[in-house]
Amino acid sequence: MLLVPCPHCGPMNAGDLTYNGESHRRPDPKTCTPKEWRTYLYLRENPSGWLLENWYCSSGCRKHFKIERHTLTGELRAPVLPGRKPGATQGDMK
Amino acid sequence: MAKHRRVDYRPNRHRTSQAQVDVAIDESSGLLIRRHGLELDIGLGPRRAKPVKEPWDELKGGRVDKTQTQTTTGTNTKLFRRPGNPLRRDQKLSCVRQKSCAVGSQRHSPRGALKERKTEVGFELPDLLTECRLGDVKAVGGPSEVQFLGHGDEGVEAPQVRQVTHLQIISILLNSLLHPHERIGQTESMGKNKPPAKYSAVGLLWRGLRKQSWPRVWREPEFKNTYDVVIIGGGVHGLATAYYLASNHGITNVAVIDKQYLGSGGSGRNTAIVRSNYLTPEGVAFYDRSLDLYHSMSNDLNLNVMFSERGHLTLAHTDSALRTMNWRAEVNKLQGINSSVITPAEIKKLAPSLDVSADTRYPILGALYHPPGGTIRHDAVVWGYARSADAYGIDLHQKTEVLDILVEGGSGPKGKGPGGKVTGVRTSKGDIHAPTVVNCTAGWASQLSNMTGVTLPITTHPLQAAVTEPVKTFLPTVVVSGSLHVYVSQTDRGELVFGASVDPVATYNMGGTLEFTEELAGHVLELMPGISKMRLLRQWAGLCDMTPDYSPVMGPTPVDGFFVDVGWGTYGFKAGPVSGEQMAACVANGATPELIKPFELSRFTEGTLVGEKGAAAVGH
Repeated sequence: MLLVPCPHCGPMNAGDLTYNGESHRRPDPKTCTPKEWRTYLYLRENPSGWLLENWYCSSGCRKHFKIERHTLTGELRAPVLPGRKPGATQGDMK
Repeated sequence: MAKHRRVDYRPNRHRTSQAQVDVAIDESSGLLIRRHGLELDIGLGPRRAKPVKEPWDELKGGRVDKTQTQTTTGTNTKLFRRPGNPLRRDQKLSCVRQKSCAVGSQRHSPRGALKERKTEVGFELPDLLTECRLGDVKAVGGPSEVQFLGHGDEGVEAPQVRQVTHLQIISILLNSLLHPHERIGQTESMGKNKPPAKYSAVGLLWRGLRKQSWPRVWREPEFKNTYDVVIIGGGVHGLATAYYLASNHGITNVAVIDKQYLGSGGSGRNTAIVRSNYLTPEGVAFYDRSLDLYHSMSNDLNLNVMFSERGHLTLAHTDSALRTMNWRAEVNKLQGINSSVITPAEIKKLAPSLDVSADTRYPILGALYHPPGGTIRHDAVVWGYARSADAYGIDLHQKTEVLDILVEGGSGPKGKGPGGKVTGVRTSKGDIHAPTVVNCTAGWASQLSNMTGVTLPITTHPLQAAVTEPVKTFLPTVVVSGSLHVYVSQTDRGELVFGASVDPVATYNMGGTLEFTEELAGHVLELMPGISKMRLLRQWAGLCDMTPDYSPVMGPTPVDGFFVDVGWGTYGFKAGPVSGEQMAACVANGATPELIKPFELSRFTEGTLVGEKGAAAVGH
């Protein structure tokens, strides 16, 4: 079982959240080429290690949030986002 | 929920302890052998001084204590099979035993043992012809844990298997009369461009009478630094590609590399179901060719793969599902595939244990019936391809991990990426120079492709499966329910094998979850309320390489010399032979064959996806 800490609801069972996969920067649809857009849509790094992901708290606060997860061990940590200190652990998420 | 509680989730509850098993063997194995039980020496007999490695050492991964086999009088590892008495098929079959050899040799005088062996051979002939059928080898939880459970000779509803077996016996007997000196599994004589040595009845008798140990089924080759083709991944796809490269195109300077043992990934973890009733014409044509190859496989590879063509039912619980079934049936008919929609009454006739009443939560409204579908022994497929590929001189390097793929002249960092050219592979045993590298890994496909600078449209999700204790045969077909996310089939041993859809969260972790068993038990009981007291033996997971359109990625990549055969997701096993054949043609001719043209990697950047989700998502 994977307990994912929602920034608002606290630890939630992963089954209660919606997993939205790898977090990518979306290219500007007005200026990008179809190839760039499809690359954004389909291609994935899919690493065995730390991965920045999008989650949606579908049965809780209904907020989207990002979190870093180790895809082999299931470990979770706060993502390095603007305004946050790098290397923060799961406990710092609250 | 009341139904849920009646299923015992604890996988170990039913298992006897090692001590109990040993006592049971001491008390009963003499009797078993006097019937027609089979005792197979996996280690060394007490008389032999020189250590010999057996193929099963590889299969058992790291769990075999090699020091045991190097002492002449020390403890041996043995596998005991319960007798294949059809009258007592419903009895509980139990698992691995490790036993000291001293007990066995004291109990039976050599002369007595010889007589008993003769009897065994007489009774077990059809079985032994299938070579490695020691029981079901399944990795559980971790990568290298292996269990041997029961025996696999209790096929009841498998007339095709029997036909093949009988034909094989006749052909083998004829062959043994023509070539009396050819011995079983003889690896010494295997050279390049020769078909594998035939298993013959004379050789079988000879070994039985002489109490000879069985030779390795494939070599443990020396590590070479140059190959024409390096295939990464020793599963069905990798080995089939190697085999067809040699047999169809004469390319034998090939290495197959696997970081564990052959068939340790998805090839040994799937639920062994094959079918060809897909939704798109591309998919139908592809899988039908695969089914053809599976049909002739036992004869082609001289190894019984236990193809049981028992029929495949895909249940429809909603109007929309029934509409899709009709659509699929029409697409299939147009392509010449035997497939039709049947009513609940007909379903009840085919599989009486299914609850087809109208007052269930998900009433069964109809089903897509596909008679050519069925199950195959997946380990036998891996072993058959490995043995045949080895006979052609292809090197199978197990326990060799790929650390990097060497690329020159690419547009990305370190000369990798599009426009580059593959020069070799860096492995845990050293560098290999090769102009062609084929990626046939499943869950690890992205990681290997990333080594060349090619990004794939793949995410890795685990797919869990579970198996119950063995019972009498009652389920004659494969039953699939898309709405309930479950597929069930009964193995030849009588165990029910369940599979489900992939876990929603991408991960490389192969641990099982309680949520899976809970959900599975609930859904299975919706279909078959009668099995509520059956107990689950174990569950396991395998890694699936999921693509956005549920179709595979095959063929060349932007890096010259780097080919992929990945993205098979949850249905790679049923496509193993045909994808091996087509990939071999692709690598040998340098051009993508028509059959796999729709599945090229470039379809994602060109936007020409092949949507198979309707037929492939849960429909196994």
